[in-house]
Amino acid sequence: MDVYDSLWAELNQLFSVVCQLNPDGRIVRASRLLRERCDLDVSNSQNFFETFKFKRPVLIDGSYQSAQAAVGQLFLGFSESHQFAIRGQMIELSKYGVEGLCFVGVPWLWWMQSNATHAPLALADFPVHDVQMDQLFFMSAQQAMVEDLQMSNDALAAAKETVEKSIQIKQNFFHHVSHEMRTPLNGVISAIALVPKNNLPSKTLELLDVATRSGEQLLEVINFTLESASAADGLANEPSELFDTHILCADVLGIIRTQALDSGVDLAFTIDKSKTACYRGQARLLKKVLINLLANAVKFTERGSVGLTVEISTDARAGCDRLDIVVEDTGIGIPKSELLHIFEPFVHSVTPGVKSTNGTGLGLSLVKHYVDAMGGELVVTSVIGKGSRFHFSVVFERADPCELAETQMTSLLFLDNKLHGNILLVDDSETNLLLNAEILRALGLTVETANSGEAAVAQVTSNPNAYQLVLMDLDMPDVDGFEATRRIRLDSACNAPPIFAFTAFMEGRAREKSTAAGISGFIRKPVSPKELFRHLAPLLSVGMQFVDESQEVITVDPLVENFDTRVFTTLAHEIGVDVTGTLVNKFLIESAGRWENLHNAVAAADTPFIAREAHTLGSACLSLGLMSAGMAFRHIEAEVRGGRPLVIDKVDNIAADLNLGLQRLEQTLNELRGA
Amino acid sequence: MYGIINKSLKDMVLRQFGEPAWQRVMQSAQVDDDSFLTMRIYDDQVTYSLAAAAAEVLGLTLEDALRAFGVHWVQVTLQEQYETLMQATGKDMASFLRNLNALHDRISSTFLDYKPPHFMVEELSDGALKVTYISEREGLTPFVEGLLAGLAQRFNTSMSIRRIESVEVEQGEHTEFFLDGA
Repeated sequence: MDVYDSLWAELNQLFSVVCQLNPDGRIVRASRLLRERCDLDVSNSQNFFETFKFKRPVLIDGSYQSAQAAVGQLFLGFSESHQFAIRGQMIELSKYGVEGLCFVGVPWLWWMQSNATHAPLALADFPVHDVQMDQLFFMSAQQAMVEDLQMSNDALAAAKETVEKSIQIKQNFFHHVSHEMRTPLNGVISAIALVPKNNLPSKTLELLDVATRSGEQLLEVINFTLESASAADGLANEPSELFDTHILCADVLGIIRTQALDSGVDLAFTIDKSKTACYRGQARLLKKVLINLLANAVKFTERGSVGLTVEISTDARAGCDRLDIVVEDTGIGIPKSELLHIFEPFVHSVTPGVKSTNGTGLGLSLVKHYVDAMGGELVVTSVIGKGSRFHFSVVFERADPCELAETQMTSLLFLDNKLHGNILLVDDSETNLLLNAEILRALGLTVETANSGEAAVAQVTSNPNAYQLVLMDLDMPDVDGFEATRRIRLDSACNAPPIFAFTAFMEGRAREKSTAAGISGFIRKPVSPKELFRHLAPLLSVGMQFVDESQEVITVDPLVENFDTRVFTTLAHEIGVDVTGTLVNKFLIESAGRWENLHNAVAAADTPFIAREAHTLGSACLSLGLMSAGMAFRHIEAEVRGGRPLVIDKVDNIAADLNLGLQRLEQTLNELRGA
Repeated sequence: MYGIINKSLKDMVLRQFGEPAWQRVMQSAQVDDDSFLTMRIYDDQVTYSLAAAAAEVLGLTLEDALRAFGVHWVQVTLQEQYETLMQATGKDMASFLRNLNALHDRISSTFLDYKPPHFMVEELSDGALKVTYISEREGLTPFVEGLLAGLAQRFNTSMSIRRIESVEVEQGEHTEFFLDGA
């Protein structure tokens, strides 16, 4: 055996595909595997480059010379018959005294796997050092792993679906039970509220009081159950809306004011009015939080004060502000041992030596839910006998005040704690209609009723301006509350009053459906007169007046005072008392003209002009500290921009406020001049 | 052992005896999680417990259960997931058994924790095969018997398989099989 023969034998041990070519590309010798797979007969002097087409190297053109130039590179080729594919390299044989090239390699497994599955390869077709078979096993194993994971995913998805279904069933059960409990409770609470209290023996009054409190407590528990379910549904989905912090806080304080008056507790509100106050965010949640915290603070404060402080600072997030909100009281305080659990449901704070108050212990738990949903954190500190301090920070996106003016901004109108406005009450139950209409009337409202969705549509669309609010039952035969709302919105999209769902049925889907139908908000039935007042007060405002301004015991929101001395004195300090005096004179002359313009514009229903004049007057008033008049003008602007009609009375109502404010302004100016 | 073994055992019970039987097997073996991943390593004890529990639940001896599992391994698991490799390993019983070590060698190069058995194949003068099974694990000889039976069916041979003897070793198992009539 010569050197070349021994080399040939070695090559055949190392590689399963070996092929010697002479300088014209013809096959001189081929390994067994190649002969078998390609049906080669070397005696026929078959041309290697006609037998195989090469994908790599790219420069192979079918000539011996191109293959010679690619010695050392990877060759990937397949037979003309598409039966076999090879991978390997060329080596020069000249140094062994033989002219020509030799291809050494192995079957090209991946090509065969894809293109020649009918001719499977065997382990023995590969030299032991070749890793293609190892890769094949690895790939098969990986494929199996992917299938395992897919199976696990399917199993998890199925389990998730089962759990979700069972949660849904549980929630439906809760809603159903709550609904069933609410309906009779509605009758109980409403009927007790309507019992004529005159001439009743004191014992009976006492028992009625117990019945009322017990009913309200039970209602609170039911509400908590439903609110918790809503929280589970995702409070984070609560819609984002435009709001003015000053107005929102004023609304809340207005709601709490009666309670504070009854308890003889002072209410104080602090906010830096020079800061931006218009934001986009979950205003309803914020409102609920403030109402709950303030109501709680008043409840647990026998004497002293309850304060609401809002500090505004720029947040790191672009276009956002951070609101640090504190509700502080000088009440009985919470024992240290209970502070950790105060946000858990059904926890009552028990202060030694203090008689426990009524309540379910659910309010703070809900407040925490709401603050969490807004992305904030609620913190409480307290000292027994000195008071408690609830603090939370929330971040809101800043909004353009002009944008706010275009929204349906509402505020409250208090006149001797009565509400004013005309409401359409829709309910298919005659009993509910009767009871709730009585309660609404007792709150000072005028009430019209409709006993079906169809009737409601007819009443509203025939005279959309007649109502300031529609309270719509959702669950009615034929045309339900959703459909009725949809039809009203379609018929008179611009002029329809706000429509609130007034319903006992408040599950998450009903909320989504309501929003889609155009329902603006929700009030749960049954509801006590006090609760209803709280709900409706922020909705039924056309301006803002506090008729009992003289009651010095209350420091009401400075925004709603006729005149805010601090704003005016700051201005005088900044621009000088003389200049301020000139400014006031100019304002008096200009405002008289604008006042007349506004009157004429209202009479002529010239909406753009009303908006412009109200805007100018509002801004001027607010700059001079004429707060209630300024806010009232802003509300007029918002009303007309929102497409709602304006009656001249609303403008005239501002006159008294403005005059009172101006009197105080002149008095302050004189004092400043004297100083 | 790799999860593929446990997965295959579960598959056999599920296919042949249904979900309730598998649940009883898991309960009896005190195995909570049956989402076995093919290439994840599980303690050998899990496999032994499952096999013992399967035998108990299905009313079989442990040997019969392992034998049935061996057949299932070849005819279902390998055929459904590794058919290309099965084909590559051999076209008949003798070549397949002879190449089995080479296949295991290749798998070992990728899966470092793989501890495959070793097979010595001797072709006897009358055409019969003497196969010696050498494993560092114990108790799996009946499983190998099942494997050989499954392979015989795969290659359509009417070979009878006899376990000649188990050789005493310090650790693991050495067993000789006689495959007759191929």
